[in-house]
Amino acid sequence: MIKEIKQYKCLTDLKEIIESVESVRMRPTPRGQDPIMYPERSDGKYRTVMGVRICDYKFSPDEKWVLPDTQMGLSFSGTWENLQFSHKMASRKKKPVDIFWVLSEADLPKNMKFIPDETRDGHYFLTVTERIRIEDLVFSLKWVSDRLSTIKEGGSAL
Amino acid sequence: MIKFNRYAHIEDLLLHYAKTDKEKTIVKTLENGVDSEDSAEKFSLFVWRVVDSIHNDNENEVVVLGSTNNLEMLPDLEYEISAYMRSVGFYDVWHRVSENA
Repeated sequence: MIKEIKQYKCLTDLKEIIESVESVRMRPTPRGQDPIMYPERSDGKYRTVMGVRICDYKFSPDEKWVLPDTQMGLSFSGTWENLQFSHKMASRKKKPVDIFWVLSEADLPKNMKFIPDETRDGHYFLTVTERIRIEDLVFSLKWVSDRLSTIKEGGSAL
Repeated sequence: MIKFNRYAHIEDLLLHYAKTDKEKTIVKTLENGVDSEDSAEKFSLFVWRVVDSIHNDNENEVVVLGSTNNLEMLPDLEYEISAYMRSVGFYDVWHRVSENA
């Protein structure tokens, strides 16, 4: 898969780019943050296991396994309408926000699949399709991360 | 109390800022829910103040919920507020306030 880098200078640019790509799945990310993995947190409802938040996937009680669930997975936007307010929140105070994206039909790892959110149009979960070890989920997520294309805000392309 | 099922930490986040900023009306809304267009508007404006506070606390290295950087929670916040406002019938108010925020 060829990684692609586009740029946008205003929201109209961004909307047009997004609408020109069919079956796009996106995550808005403040510049400098990892688009897929989270910083480790040991407490709270948002704590992580090896960089994966426990609120994003269904874990076994011992947290060594991740279980398949069609409505649990990393959050992705599939449309501008779905993306626009979370992008606006991230870009307050004129902070640059890059959009990391992949095509829904891209060859994901065999244990992962995009499934539409049953409660919200234009929103998708990157789910696991089988019971896998947390280490395998981390490997698969990093595999996806390595293949993400970017729509960069302003400035020069990488 | 308003419940956020998927990203339950949003409840802690909103309560923290409502209490820190002494937003008594909002604390009551978090306890009892949004039940009118007026409370929907005030709650929506509060959520955008929270967004700015999260950015400010990140810049000023203020620890909230164990971290100085809660920017990663912003998509969770947007997801849960949109879902909640839909569920109580005031999504159009949230959308209008957000467009103008």
